[in-house]
Amino acid sequence: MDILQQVLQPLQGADWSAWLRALGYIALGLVLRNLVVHGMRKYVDNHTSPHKAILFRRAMSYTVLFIFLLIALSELGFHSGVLLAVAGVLSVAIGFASQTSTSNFISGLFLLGEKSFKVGDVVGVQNTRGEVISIDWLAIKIRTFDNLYVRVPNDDLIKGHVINFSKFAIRRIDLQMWLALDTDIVALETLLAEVARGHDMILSEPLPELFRLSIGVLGVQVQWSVWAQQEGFFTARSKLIDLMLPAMHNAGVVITQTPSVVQGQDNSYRMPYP
Amino acid sequence: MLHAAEALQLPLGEAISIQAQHETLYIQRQPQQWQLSRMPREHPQCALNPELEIRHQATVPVDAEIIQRWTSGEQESTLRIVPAMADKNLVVRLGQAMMIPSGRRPKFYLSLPLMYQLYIGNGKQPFYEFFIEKLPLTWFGSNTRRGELCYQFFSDVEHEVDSGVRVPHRAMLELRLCNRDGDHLSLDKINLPAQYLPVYRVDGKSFWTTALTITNEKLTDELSLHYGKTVPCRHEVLQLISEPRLRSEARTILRALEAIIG
Repeated sequence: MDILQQVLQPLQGADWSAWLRALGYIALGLVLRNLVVHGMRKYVDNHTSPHKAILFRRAMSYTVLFIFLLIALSELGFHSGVLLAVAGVLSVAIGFASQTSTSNFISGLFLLGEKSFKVGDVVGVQNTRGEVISIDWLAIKIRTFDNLYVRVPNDDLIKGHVINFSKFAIRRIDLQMWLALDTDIVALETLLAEVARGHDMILSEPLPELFRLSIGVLGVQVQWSVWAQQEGFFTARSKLIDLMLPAMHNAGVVITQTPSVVQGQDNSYRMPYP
Repeated sequence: MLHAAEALQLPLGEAISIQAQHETLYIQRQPQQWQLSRMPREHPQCALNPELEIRHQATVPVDAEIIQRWTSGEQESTLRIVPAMADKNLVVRLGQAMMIPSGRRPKFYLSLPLMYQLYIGNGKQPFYEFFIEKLPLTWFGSNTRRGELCYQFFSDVEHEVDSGVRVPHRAMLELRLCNRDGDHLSLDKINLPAQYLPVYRVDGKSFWTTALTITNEKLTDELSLHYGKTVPCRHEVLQLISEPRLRSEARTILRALEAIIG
């Protein structure tokens, strides 16, 4: 209580002109903060990644406001030394009480350094898959493909696996199927290569490949792998299946079984891009 | 016959068609807008005519797929069709692999597929670009992590400029490959930086681009690319048709070996 009284004592002695000056400083701080943030927006947006730009803008904004708040308080008679001492005591107390937040904050710093993903990337974290819409000090925000807003603490990202689907420019489409044992696999390979050539979104290199995986009671298990651009990946895959099935049907190729899909708890994880 | 880069005046409601290898493009002037649509060709055909096959007063099929609409809110009657280099790098796959002996600097000629750009009125940006021949996309790089998306085409190199039949809708490139390394240089595909090359029309008939020299430097894993100042062929009339899409500060730039030669 003594400390609180010591802190609040100057307020009782402040006259109306001191209050006016303090408010003036706060108003000036707000104006200056807007000017600084807007002034450097173009430079920061052009020279850093989007999430760093967001964090940098926030840091600058809070710093400017903090400085002007200190000036305003000193106008009211507060001594900055006392304020800093109180802030020190409070920060230790808050630090003990908010270990999780501190852990998230430190994890956020590591994530920034790692550059594993950026705003706009599509990532998979635990059972959530979606587009990163914000990377903050404590958590990242994800928009799933069924339009849910998910907050993932930074600590979870450091501890667990994160899959970034947008990191590289190209991605492989894998289609697995079981074929009848009497299938002419070499002829099928030629047929599928022809199908891939007729598809605008499939890359001619890396070459499409038909992997022979195994032979079982269901027949021959194969995997057809082709490469497509990351952008439009799901469209490319859908169009490929549309082209492939009639071609295989016309050639008399019999698909005996396709790998079953186990229903997951979270449908958004398996959902394609919007 | 229309020469590319010339302007066409279309009356309101009239359409033209352009024949590409796999599709026919229809460009129609409508009140305060232009509409671009396409129709796949039943039987894809290679273009043999050196000029663009443009038909006036074309009828747009009912089932044509609308690709783009240019809506400016003004009555613009001019359509310009301008040849330009591709908007991505071009990977030329050679019919036969080549080996350049150490210390040699042979010269070749290649024809690079051109893109055609459509401009409406005085627009500075094209509203559509297309190839006459269909070029597949390919990945060019040392692995699937490092590399770039390019267009791929097949071609054989010519040692003399007039030794082969000219492929229509392509620009000639004089390419010199210098091997300064102690080992032979083997290559079966080359990544050509098409975006840094301009397009010229020579004597009103053929398209050329500036010469390119690729040098395999000694004891390094780098190649230097040197862009020439002008076209290397004899000419009386030289007309710049389109500027390079990207500009390089220097005429000579260094690139990693695997970024140019696969």
